[in-house]
Amino acid sequence: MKTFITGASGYLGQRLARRLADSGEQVQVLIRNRNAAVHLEHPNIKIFYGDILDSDKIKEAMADCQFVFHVAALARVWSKNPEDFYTINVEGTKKLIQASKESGIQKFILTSSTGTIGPSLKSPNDENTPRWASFANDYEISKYLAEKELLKEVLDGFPGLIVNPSRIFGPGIDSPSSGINRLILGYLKKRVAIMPTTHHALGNYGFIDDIVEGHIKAREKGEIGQKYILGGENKSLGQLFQTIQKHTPKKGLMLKFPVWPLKYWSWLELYMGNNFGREPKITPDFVKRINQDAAFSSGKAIDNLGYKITPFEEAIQSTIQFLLNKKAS
Amino acid sequence: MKHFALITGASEGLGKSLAFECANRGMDILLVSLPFTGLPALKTLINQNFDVFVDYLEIDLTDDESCHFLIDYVKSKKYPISFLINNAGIGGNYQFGNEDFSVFNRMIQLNIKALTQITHGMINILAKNPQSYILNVSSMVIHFEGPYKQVYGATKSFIFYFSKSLSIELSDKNIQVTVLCPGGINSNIKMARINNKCNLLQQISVLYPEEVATYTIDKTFKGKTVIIPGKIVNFYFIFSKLIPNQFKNWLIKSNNSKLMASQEAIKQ
Repeated sequence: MKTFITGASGYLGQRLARRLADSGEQVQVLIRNRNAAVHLEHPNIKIFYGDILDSDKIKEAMADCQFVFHVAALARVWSKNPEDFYTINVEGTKKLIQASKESGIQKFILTSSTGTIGPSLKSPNDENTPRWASFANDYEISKYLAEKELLKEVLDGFPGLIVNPSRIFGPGIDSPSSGINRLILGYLKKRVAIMPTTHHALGNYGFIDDIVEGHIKAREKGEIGQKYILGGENKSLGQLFQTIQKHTPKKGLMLKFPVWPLKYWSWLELYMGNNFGREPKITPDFVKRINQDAAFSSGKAIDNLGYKITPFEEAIQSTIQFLLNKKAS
Repeated sequence: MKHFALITGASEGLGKSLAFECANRGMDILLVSLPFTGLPALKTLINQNFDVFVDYLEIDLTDDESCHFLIDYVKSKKYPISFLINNAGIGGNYQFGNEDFSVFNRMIQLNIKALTQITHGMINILAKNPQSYILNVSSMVIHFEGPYKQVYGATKSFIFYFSKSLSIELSDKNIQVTVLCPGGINSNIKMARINNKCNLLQQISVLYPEEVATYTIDKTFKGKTVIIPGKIVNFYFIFSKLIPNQFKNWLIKSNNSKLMASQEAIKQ
């Protein structure tokens, strides 16, 4: 049994590839960056170099595999050219699906995001909650369109399914994909974190190791054409900050900051991004969403896949420990 | 009093946000939109989260008969509509000569004809309540005449005149008429993508339908006749009055051309 993974040089993909390889499975990956190969050195991992927009390279790297995890995506809040999101996330997915059809893949798991479902109302969102909030960022829109592509192919008999991780954190390589890891790291280094004065909004925080296991369980038990939210506990922004503070050995400062100036700061960041190519630290869309709940239920994955959630405190604690060790080394 | 809102174009964008805003304020709602636009799921979601009555009607309002049907439906169900929200509308940027007339015909049918017919059909129902409201959705484009929005802007000018006129006509009655003139809104995926491709001065003026909905219903219930949401949009509006006309026209032309280019780029 062989499995093909895209995005294996990224935060989640790398962890998934190593987890499978460690358990004795044969894994093939397609990456662009030769420097990223150091994290993938393993007797069970075969590395191919190339782009996921190159169909020939995909087919070469996918040869002899029965399963595909399509984890690769442009997972950012901003790109100088917004079309990049659509090229990589939507066109890339189409190419992967096409190659998988030609290679006779048995199961194709698309890694999407709870961002496609969006903010929640009084009860947590599940896989069937229709989107009520407007779409505004190109990442969420592109992942939503990628899901639609896959579901369209499923109607034609393609063996695909979708997993939707929530806000992901936990041990792994440095990456812009985990805002929580960066928040914790910043707090450990500078011993200061800035928390909005209004911090009641709920978010769903998924521990990376749970999400990796969830992917593998989706491959085993996931039904074709289904979506599975892979998340963690729903916590308010305030609870997140408190938990980080509680488990950090050297107490730092939590500064409270009102939300309204952030809007103007995000405009400046966007200006710098568009004109000087500097990636914005925050975007206007992020600021608009600060006060919106985004609670999710992983109930379907728990019931149907046997998905397990590591308790939030324990997960934060082990993340802090990992980041402390990394900082020390 | 408990209000009963009728919202046209409720499946997406501002209409959908207005529906959630009304539900959040405890109003009963009749949602109207095209078939297969997700109204049953929307009703379920509202019912799961808010303790209000929700019904929906899936019809195409560009058709005369459908407007009649809507009016008859409300009468037969005896829904005590006290808040009529004429939100349904068709927009877009088009080169006048290059486009099929059917595009403009649909725009006129929906933006002008349906709105007038529904308002006419509802007026006696609205009058029966102690206090009723009519909210018509116009647009900021009526103050910025420019290329590619000829018919769209004209239909929105109709809505503006109609609303202001009716507001004065009904001023001694229990029906408050309000007209909303929004600038750019992230109404749907297409609009969000177009807006995200614009320059920063355009981008920062763009509002989210959720924030427009909250602001609009607040102001409507406070009795405002004309609502222009957004600080930046208001600033641009005042600025446009202070600059020479030629400069204003040049700015509008360049703005509309960018929107047109973004719209074309997304089609491909």
